Amino acid sequence: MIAESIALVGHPNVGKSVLFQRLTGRYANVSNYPGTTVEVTRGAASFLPGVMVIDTPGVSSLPATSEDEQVTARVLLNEPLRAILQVGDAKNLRRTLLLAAQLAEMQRPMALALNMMDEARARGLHIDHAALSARLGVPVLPTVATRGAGIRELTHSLVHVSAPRFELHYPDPIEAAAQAISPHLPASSIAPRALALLYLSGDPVAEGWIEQHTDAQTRQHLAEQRAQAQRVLDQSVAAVIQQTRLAWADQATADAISSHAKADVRSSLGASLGRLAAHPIWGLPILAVVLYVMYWFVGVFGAGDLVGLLEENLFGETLNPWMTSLVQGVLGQSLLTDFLVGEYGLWTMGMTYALALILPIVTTFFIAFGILEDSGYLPRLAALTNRIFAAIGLNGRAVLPMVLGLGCVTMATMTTRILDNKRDRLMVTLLLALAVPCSAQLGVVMGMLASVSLGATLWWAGVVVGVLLAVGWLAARVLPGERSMLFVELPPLRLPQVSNVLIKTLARLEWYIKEVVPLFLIGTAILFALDKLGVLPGLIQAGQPLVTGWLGLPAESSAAFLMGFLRRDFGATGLFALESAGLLSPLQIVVGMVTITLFVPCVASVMMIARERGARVALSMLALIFPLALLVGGLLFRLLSALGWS
Amino acid sequence: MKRNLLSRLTQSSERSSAQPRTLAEVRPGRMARIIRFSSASPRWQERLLAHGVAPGCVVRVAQHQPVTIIQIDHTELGFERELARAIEVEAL
Repeated sequence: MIAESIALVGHPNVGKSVLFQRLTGRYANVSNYPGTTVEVTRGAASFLPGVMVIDTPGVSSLPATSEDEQVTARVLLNEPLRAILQVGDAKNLRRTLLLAAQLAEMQRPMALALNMMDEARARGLHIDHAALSARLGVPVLPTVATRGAGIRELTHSLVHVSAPRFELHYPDPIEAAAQAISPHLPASSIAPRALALLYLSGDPVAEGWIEQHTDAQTRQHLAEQRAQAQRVLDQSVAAVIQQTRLAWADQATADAISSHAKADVRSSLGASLGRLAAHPIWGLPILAVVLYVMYWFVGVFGAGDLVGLLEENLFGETLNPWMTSLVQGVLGQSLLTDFLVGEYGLWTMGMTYALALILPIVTTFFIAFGILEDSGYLPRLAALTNRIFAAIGLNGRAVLPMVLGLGCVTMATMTTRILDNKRDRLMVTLLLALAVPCSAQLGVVMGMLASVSLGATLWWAGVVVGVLLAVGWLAARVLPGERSMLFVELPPLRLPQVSNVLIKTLARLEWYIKEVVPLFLIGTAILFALDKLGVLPGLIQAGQPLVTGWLGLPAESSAAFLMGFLRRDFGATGLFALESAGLLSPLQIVVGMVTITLFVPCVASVMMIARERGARVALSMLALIFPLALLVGGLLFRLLSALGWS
Repeated sequence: MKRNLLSRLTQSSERSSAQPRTLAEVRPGRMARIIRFSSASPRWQERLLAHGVAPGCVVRVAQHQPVTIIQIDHTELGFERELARAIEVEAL
């Protein structure tokens, strides 16, 4: 049985997730909305037994322009909704009412929470919510979710809400088209007129839904009506519809709001800091500090200290020997023993990898990400770095996954879901897998290059950055779709709420354990099978001619390359051992390091790519990255040889 | 004192023509009334409208570098200058 739900809908940064916590208590479930990589949070309503609360991604309006907005549109169209709870920013009443008009037109039971009422009052705004309630036909309640103010009144009204009969009158061509379309639409969870308006404005989700529920003839009729409305209008249908709503929202705002002392938004400390953080000059040192602290927390503290503590000490010295002797005591020397605690054992490799190596990185990352998310700094980060990414056909939003990649490429691949569209996600995923070294690689690479010369380090950095820019530039031209311009809202900077960050982190960790850890176990099982079937030594041998002839490296490094892909610490140790034995010349070190940096970081990152982008994309990327890494390595070997390196 | 310093530090030194015709030409710190979206693609027009940026409304330009940032009501929006060039305004 599917439980009825209350959907929280609203703009980004209006305090939806804090209000969600207030309505559901402590337990939340974060998961991807089916068929997407967009996170949706669900929890049981604490005030209504048997009812779920869904926290939808932020929307500015429909038609949906991003995947986040599409998920919200799908929740509205497909979920068995008991009520819609719009969460709005009280100090941005006009914009809030613009969305409220659209939601009220759906004629589902609905309530509007005017949140952050304290901030509105601090700006001298007084809002007549009773007048708004009368105008919209839905309960309108002031709340301050962070302090829990107004929550009881809100839950009370949510228990008894009824559907409003709200309608706006649009210019004639649109009214005519909406009336012609409505009778042909199959019954949905929203009013036929609202669905017709969504369809007329070209909403992709409404279109997809209609496609599933109507025959070709009806669809042709609908498309003709829409085309006819468009012919007589000089602006897009969507723009005309939106302007009509905006005119209503302007009037409603003017009638409901009285502003006393017109406090200037610029005078608050958060706003000043926010402005400083987006400033062309002063923003840069702030950016450097934020990125460095984040890199330190995730890349050094998480991936270094915590991993060392867990992997070497707890797992390596205590848990794994204990587990191994336990299993051997029970099962003796058998294939099953090997499968559990052998070189590629489910416990000794799979679980050790998932819990000792990745879990600390994931935890520190989720905490850092939660803090950045909650503080309102993320959009400023995107604004500051936009130029750099514009050069390779992306926008500033790509900065977060790229910087995170220096900590852990696997997790960075997961964060590509904050990007606007599929094209950008695909591009950043490729660049991460190809040219961004993770902290483990970076440590070994830097250590070995430093033992050669500064020149060697510069060659390595130059080639890797060159490949990154060239592939980014090329991918931007080859992949279908246009570069999407940066368009962000910059909320005032605030101190993150500890409880909000912690609850989100816990919910995301639960997702990691349930959804990602099995990937590591499957990967380990595959390796175990390859090893037992004797495929691994064969692969190492097959790689040797390429490694010696084309890359000019000693034959032994073939094993290091393969192992490095399977488990990053094996590969690093392998090459390091060769260097210590004096088997690698400076030329070979530079070529080896460039090639291993361009290789896919580890088997876990490939699993993550397959999870986020699909198995086909993961395989295509491998098919592109391996030859490209070898090609660049071989060319570099020849170039440096010609320049007199040895 | 401290706040004064902060707000002075955030003044951009960008110079623009005396009679701005698009949002991209409005000097940081100045207000402008939006007349119409001249060459913005429908998709971006809808995005602007969704944030309440419509012909007739008044916005304050905060900066143009590294992106254009405007203030409307109590919201700040950041977008690329290319989009600002597609928004026709009159100076206030």
